[in-house]
Amino acid sequence: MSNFIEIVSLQKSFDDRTVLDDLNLKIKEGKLMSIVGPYGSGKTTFLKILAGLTEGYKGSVTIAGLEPRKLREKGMVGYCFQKPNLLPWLDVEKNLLLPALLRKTAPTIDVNKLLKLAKLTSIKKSKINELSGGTRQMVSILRSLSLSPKVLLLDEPFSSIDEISREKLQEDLLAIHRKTVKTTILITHSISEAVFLSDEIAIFSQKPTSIKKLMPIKLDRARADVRNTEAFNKYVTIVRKQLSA
Amino acid sequence: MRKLLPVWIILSLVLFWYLSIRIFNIPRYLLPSPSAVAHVFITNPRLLLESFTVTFIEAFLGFVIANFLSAVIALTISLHKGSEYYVLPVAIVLKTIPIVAIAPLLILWFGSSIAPKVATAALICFFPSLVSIVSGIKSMREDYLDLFKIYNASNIATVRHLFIPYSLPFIFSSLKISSSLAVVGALVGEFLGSNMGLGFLIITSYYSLNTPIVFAAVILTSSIGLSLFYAIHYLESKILTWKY
Repeated sequence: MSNFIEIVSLQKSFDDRTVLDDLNLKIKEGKLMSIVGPYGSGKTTFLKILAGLTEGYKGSVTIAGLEPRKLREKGMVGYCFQKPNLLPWLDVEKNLLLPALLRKTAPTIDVNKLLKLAKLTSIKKSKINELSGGTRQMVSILRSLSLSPKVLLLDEPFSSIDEISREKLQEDLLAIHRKTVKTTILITHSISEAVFLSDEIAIFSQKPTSIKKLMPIKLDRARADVRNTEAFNKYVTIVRKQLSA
Repeated sequence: MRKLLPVWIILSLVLFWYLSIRIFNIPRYLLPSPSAVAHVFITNPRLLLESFTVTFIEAFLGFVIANFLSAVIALTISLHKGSEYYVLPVAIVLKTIPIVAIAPLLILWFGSSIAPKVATAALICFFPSLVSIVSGIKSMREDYLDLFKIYNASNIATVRHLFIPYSLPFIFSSLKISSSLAVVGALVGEFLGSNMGLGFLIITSYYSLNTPIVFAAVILTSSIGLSLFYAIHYLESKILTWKY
């Protein structure tokens, strides 16, 4: 399988402060990679570079052979922000149709099908204020999928959600990933979330950030109780050690 | 019962007003009784209605012009961030000129028509409206802008689908603030040069010590501000359904 995302010697500075330095990464198509790292290590900056939102970097970044800005202009990027940023003046359906409206294209996935991915068809006409934090974030993820993007970028989507809802949302996200097979990059501070969801984990170093370790995760995700297995806990321990080293 | 509380408070104040006159024997030219004021409403409905209509139109037009300009300028500033440094100082200069100082000039320029009163009403509303809407738009969440950038939204689409709906709560709050200010502006214009309107009625009745008419005009003046305020509140509840 070829590399879908290729990052070579990426460097990004703000004024005199180098945030990312000589960062190299390759991601295969359809894989879900998690990025974990210390606070302020430039994870969101990294994701925004991939999304074509932040420019002025050195090195080379290509996604499906295109520069991030080109990819964004073609509507091939799905991005889910840290806080659910659904527009409160639109209902769920209109929020899901917003990307198509802004890009003046018909949505490639119909809303019902999209909501069905997360078993949320009943909230189609709901106001955003009526939804729980977890549901809002799931709708945000669904919105980022609405134009059938080539790559899905998730910036700590579950960080403000309680533990129980979070596990449910992780399972939903995994199910969505299995069905859509999108190349996905997830930023998270939760090691167990990274292990549970990812095909591979990239551990970021302290600033100036580069990749400290790449760790493939080989777990039997068909098992509902994978979180309680020895293999799962072993991965969690290794990642924790790497982060605290 | 709770909804009737304001009515009870007003009735108590009227009773207190009435009893004060009775107990302290206050002369009519200083404080007319509630019945004397009511008598003015019964005997001079036409005069009061005409004056009310004139002041209402002046205040309403000034209010609409000021808020429309504020909203347009605020949205322009939001799209062209540099323009804030040119527009706001001009608005601040306008704000620092006391309205009573500029009103005679407006009357000189626009004559005794309703135009100078509309202008004073607009001037007094303009700055608070502009500041309120600009500071609202400036509080725009960065991730909303990024979301629109992700989908390559045009400037027009960003204004239409993001800036306008996002600014509406701030626009409504500025409308509420300026609803009472517009009445003050219209009255100031009428005080300084007019031959109609509630301001004119207050000044002429004050000179002839016809205090009951002054009171009736004051009540009508406050009713303009109140009616504008509640009309805006009603519109807000119908338009911003997602907030209610």
